[in-house]
Amino acid sequence: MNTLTAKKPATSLNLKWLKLAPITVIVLLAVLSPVLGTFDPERVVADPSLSPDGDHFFGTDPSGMDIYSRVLAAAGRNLLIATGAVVLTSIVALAVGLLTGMNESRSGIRAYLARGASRVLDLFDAVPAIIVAMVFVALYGVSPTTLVVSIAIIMVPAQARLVRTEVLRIRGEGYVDAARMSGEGEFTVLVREVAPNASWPIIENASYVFGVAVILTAALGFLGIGLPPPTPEWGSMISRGASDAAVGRWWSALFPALALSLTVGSVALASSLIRTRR
Amino acid sequence: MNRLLNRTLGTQRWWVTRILVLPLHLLVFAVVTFFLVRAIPGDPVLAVTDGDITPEQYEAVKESLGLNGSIPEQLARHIGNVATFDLGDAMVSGRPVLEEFGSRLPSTLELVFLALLSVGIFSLFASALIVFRPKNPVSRVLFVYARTAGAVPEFVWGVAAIFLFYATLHWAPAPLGRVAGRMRMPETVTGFPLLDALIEGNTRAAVSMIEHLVLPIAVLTIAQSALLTKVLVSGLQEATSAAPTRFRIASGAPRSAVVTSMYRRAAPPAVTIVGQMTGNLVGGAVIIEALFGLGGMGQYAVDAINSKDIVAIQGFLIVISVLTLLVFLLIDVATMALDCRRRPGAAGVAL
Amino acid sequence: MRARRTLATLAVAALALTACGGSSEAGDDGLDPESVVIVGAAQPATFAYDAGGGGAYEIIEFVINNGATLIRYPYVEGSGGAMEQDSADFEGVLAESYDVSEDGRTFTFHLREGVVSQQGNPLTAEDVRWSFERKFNTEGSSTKAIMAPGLTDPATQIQVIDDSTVSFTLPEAGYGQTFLGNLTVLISQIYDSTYLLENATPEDPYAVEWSRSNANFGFGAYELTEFTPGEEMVMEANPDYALGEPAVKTIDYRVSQDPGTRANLLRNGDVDIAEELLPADQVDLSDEGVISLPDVKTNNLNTIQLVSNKAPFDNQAVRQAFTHAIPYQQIIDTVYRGRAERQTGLLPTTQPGYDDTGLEEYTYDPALAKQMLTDAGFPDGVTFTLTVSNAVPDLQETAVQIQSFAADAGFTVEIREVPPAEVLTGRRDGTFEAYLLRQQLINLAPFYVLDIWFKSAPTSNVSQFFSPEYRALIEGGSLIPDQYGPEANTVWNTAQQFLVDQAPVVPIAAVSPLSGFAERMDGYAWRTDNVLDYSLLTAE
Repeated sequence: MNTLTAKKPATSLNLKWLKLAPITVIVLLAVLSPVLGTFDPERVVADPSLSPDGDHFFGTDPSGMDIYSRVLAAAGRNLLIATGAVVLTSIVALAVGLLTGMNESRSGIRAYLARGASRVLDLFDAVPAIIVAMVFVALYGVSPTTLVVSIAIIMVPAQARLVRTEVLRIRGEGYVDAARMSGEGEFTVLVREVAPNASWPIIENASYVFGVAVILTAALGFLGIGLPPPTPEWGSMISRGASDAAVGRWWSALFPALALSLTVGSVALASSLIRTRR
Repeated sequence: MNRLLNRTLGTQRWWVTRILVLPLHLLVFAVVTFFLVRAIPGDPVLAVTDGDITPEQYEAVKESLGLNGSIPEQLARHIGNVATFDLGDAMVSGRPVLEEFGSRLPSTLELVFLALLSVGIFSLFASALIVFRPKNPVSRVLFVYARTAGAVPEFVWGVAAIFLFYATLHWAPAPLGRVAGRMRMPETVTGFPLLDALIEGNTRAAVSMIEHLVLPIAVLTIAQSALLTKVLVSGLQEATSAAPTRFRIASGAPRSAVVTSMYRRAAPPAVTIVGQMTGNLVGGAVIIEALFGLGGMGQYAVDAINSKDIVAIQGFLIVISVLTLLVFLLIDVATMALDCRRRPGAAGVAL
Repeated sequence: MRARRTLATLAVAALALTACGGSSEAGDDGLDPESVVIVGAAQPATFAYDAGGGGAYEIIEFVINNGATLIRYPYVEGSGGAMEQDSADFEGVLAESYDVSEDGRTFTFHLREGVVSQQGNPLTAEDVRWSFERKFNTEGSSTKAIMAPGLTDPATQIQVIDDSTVSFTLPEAGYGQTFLGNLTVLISQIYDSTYLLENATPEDPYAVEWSRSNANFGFGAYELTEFTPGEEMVMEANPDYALGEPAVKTIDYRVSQDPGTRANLLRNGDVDIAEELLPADQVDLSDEGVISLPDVKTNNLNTIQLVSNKAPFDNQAVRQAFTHAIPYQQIIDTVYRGRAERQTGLLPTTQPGYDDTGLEEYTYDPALAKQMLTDAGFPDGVTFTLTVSNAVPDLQETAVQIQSFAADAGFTVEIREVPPAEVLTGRRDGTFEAYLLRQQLINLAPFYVLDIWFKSAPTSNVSQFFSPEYRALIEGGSLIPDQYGPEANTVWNTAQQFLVDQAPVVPIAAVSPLSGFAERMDGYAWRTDNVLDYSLLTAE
């Protein structure tokens, strides 16, 4: 064996995995928030607008609720919604991408439908994400479910397109033809051969969807049409803190803003790891 | 079909067909909006009325929402309305939706346009700096920024900017509207505030507006430039090592010509990104308007959502969709103009 | 290099602009005393109150300044030093005076001489008659419901005697006080019938739809001269106003949806008056010396209305227990920073002959509440949904406080925020379990106050609380000719005791005025509708 390739340098291996650290920490914090929080995040516990001190690490908001506990609790909620959105998006995008990819270049009704569906999805990709979310929330109300569904609607077109491209590529691969020739039915080919190999783009991009989900939830909360108070949510906390910030009371807005940015940043960092693995 | 189109339109086929398809896309949006509204749980009439409501009033409201008649009738009526730009009357104010938008949309468009310019200029300079002066410390900062800035949404930048530049440093004016306190807005000529101020020759108002726009536009620029910068950088880097560029350098072309050709080469993917980015900017403008009190569509939309004004919301979605379609049309045409290979029906690359 | 130089030039240019623009930001030293800038939360969605569309603050304020009534409550100096309306007295606006007949049932109004409308048409008795005919014939107008039982049929009860004399005849003398009170409030605007008829159509015979978006069809102190949707509206003084041309000639009304921003505008000197502020901001501004806060008790009541047609509040014991689960003082201190006062019962304590026998204030007593719940058969407490408007920030804060503190008293509260229109619908249909409302009873006549929320018709009963004995009691009271006499006051007191005991509506606190006046402004007066009368304003 060539000694030059026998061992990988230890340092590069360690550094790579470090990229996962921030998001792991955040997930842990979110999961442990009931324990780590010092006060009930949805109850008034002190005087309003107190600056950070020993009792209230991040101070209190204009209602008198503890910001530290709320930031932690909001983590859990935002991450849960984002995870739900990623799961739903992935499933739907996979299905849609498979269907359009497999049927597009055939002839007949299925092909037209598939091509039409692709086009419609492309159209919807165009409308700004926040607008779609706003309209959806306006019509169907705000709840974790509607948030998850609206984010999925926003992200499915792009994801489905990725899957479709991959499917188009895979269809020409040898193992697919081999499977067909060995007598596998069309559906089985789809499930056993095409789907697993076409899923890669979704997994790679899952972190992007995750980031968008977190940001969209926060944006809606910021605009005042997100989850109802006193539900702790970073966006609505930032919005509340914004008017405080304009008069110099920086803590109500800063800590949720930091939490938001750090979370999305660490997700992006972790995703770069997944990408390099491939 | 292909041959017929080729014969009648000839070399102009590519952009003409692109425009002709527009109404079709609009139709799709109209249909989807229709079903979205019909899918609301519960009775929308009850959800949006107030005061004593008699059976006649119930019918009247139902009609104003377009909910009378069978589904196909409603759909036909809806499509007809969209085609004739009849977006109905807003439920809260009773004024026609189009009129409400007409006074607010130009504001938002002006903001988006200025932000687009700003993003374009910033990205051009940033990408130039990164690619041509990679060792410069500013370049390094910009490079990191391009990779990571997508993590921080507009409103976070906005709140931070207000806190830093207004509350602390007092450099920026109060985020309290488009013009300084007691100044009145200029006469409405075009509906675009800054343009109207300039037309009127009202330099005080114009200067005040520009001052008040510095921070919002800066925020939008920082939030949205990362992507375009990245694309330009990778395009330029590709162009650096591409054969035509090396040929130009080797044959002694002046530096400016080389750089221009590199940018032209890097342009098509960048132009496509601009389309997506305009969409993001419209979305970002909605948020920034709320934060800086700039009036415009954003606040109206949020109000409509808070008061469940379904007609206004529906109109809002349609207008934004039309806007987006137009932007993408322009982008598509621009891309195809820049790069002949991308025109449909062209020989060579099949897309 | 060229890139960098251009960048640098741009940066310098931007800075220069900011610098030179800075001087224009400072504002003129000589502010025009005849021109005032006000910032409010929203623009009126409609210019005609009887066209329906709700009674939001900005609609009320616009309507009372753009239109005028026959009479109004006079402004007197209150105990706190601020001007306030005396709700037991009347002074003429469009009417110079009025007479009451011997039997107390007929009220004859003598219109002021020489009054012309904003369109230039002279005021006539026919305008008065037609105005009420329109209000009673308009769907979506609340006039009919409010003016009953005093005025039910304008055609027979209103008589035009001559061009400047008009009379109203009521079925009972006792209704008189309530009726006069109703004439002072915004539903009783007198319209320029000539102008409106010019704009009427067969489909819109009273020009109701037209008047939704076209103003200046009355006799008010201010005319609307400019309207930019979503941004500003300009109102100018009416030189022909019945009570004389107002001091402030131009009102520039801006909008900013965020209360914190409105406070900042005041702080920045960009506006002279800011409306609907958060109490916390008011206190900050006052501490900073930017504004001074008027000291006056209002009728702007925060109440929880416990809907009594379903569980859990169909049980009187549960309602009573809940009155001990509300942290009244905590709400006054935290949400209103002390700028609110407790109130027991619904009647103003300043009314002539007020009788407070047996009226005990509710206290926050979580242990007692829990005990009462257990006794009533709810040892594990009670859960319910509290509905609140998403457009009133201090109510949202109040809901949060209630949620936190009622938990200790055995009540688990879920907060549900809905748009104002939905609040009204749900209230009318009785679909909520409980809801929080900040509301004013604009007409403070005793029968009106005790009647308006508890009528027999389900759509006019805010807590679906139907009590025949209560109705009999107050209806008997309404027949007593002297509504402020000892006999009547005893009836009112009995009625109040009943309400306090039954607790279908729980008053939390009467909120002090929420507007802020900059130093240069004067002329604040409290009105029973809690909006600003621009004709009283003066500026330096």
